[in-house]
Amino acid sequence: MPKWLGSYWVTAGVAILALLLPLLPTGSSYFSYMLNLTIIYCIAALGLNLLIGIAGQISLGHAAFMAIGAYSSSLLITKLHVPFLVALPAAAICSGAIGFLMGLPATRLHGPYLALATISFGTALPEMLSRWESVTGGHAGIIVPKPQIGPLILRSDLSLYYLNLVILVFLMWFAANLLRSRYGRSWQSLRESETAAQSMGVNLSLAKTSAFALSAVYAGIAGSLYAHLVGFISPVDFNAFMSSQLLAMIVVGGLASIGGSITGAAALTLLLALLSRSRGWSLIVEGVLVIVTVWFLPGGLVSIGRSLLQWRARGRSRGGHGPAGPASAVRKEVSRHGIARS
Amino acid sequence: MALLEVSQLSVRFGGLFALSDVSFAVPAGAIMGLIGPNGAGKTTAFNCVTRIYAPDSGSIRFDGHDLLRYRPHEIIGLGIARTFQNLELCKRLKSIDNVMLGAHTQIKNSLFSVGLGLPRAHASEREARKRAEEALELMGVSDISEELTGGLPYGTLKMVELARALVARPRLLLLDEPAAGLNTAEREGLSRVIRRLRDQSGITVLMVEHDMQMVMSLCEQIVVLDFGKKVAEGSPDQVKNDPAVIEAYLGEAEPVAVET
Repeated sequence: MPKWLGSYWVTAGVAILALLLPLLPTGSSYFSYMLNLTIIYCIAALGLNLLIGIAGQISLGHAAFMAIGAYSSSLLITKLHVPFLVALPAAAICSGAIGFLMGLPATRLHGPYLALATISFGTALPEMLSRWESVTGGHAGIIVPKPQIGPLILRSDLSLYYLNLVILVFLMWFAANLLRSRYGRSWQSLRESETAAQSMGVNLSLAKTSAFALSAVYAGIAGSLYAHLVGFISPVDFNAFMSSQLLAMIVVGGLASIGGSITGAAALTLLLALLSRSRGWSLIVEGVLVIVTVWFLPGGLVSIGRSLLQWRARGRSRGGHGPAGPASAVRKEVSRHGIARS
Repeated sequence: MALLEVSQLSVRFGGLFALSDVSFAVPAGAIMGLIGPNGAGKTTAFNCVTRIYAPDSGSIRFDGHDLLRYRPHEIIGLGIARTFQNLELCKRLKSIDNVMLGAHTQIKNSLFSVGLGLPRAHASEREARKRAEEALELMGVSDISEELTGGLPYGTLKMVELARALVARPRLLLLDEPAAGLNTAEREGLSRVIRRLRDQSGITVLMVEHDMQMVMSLCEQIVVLDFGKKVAEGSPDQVKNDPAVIEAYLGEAEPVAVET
């Protein structure tokens, strides 16, 4: 496929860029901190895109799953002194389990009703965390140590960056594998036609809850990494603003696309950084950006790159216009010559 | 022996009987037609068999199984696959992926083995892909296997849908207006394919179709519905000359020639 050949170079370019980016001599710790934050948002956005873009289910309170990941990982490490490499997957499992439970109402609720349920969840959870002071420390939050792998403590943002990058790449690969499989197809069939999905043997409840759970696993991992990057978490970190941020990322980047999740997360984190002095403005710009994308670029930023690649591939194989136009079949909307009731 | 046995099936939508007390049996190895004017309840009957609708009363048995005990997604595993009157395809998936959805229950792999890219998980997917390609080939639309179904013509999509049903390796195939939107040559091709499926693969076929020529030439047995009631049953010749059928289609005693 020319598309693959084209994107091969793009992939290699992005990989090299990702590896070298933190080595840029900016001399600013803010820069590498933002790079780390970008990766973490990439992971959360990727998970959300699996749920919204691929499976067509809605979650408007996704930051709550990040909170679950962040808190479970932090509490395991600070209170139970569990090593980081155990706490991270444990956080993923905790968050995934709650995600599974959150998927149960999704088997009954559609569209706006599901949106409302997830908003409520996203609003209630930080509130619960702040009330449950004996465990979570309430508004005072938790101070989280830097991750330790064996004897190695990842103190610098640079070492954290490579850890986060490895995890992101693994999770992208994991998602890509799933999307090519019967799981990816069954989630997409949920989005397109539940009737078809059922008739082809897709268990709707299982498909929906598993999409929710997987998405929450991604968010939980992102939350855990966030806690270790920032070194401090409190309930307000995971409020409705962050949930809407995640949603904006996948819409701007491109729904139902792994590349779109990454692009969107990077673009919006950059935007956030540029407008960090004036938080009010960043919200406005973000809102406008979402509207403009939905209006003029429904495929998101990533669709620009895609059409560029296609355009190049077409230029290369001029003459052989790719697959022949729609097969011989004649388009006829209605041709029921059956005998009509007169 | 009857493979599918529908007895005294009634479905009510509010005060309207979509089906009332309908019984018929599809013998194993038959090609059977389910016909009737628009709104007669044909698709409703299909939807009951595939458990998309729950009937108010009656029973449906398939090869000794009481279908009403199964959930919609379990039906295909029993060996019943269907197509839809108004195409139920995933527009943003390629044709080949749509067809592979039909093999959903036959691909055995766990979410983790797939996500981690284990070879065994891939092997199962590859095998399904091969069969999906063969099914598209059989339906004569293998040239569009890599295209999104969103932009394809109606007639082609009908074939993709049929290929998807075949990939499930059904014993009973429910076809809801398979020839709608096809031209004459394509209808003949479709008739040949359906007959071959029965003759070579032993697939029993129950089809709803408005193209009388196709129904009369292809089906050995026909059930006629009108306003949710069965008005006739029998061979094409019997049905064609049945006064109740003529009345259902043409109104009472109007000497209009049946389209052929």
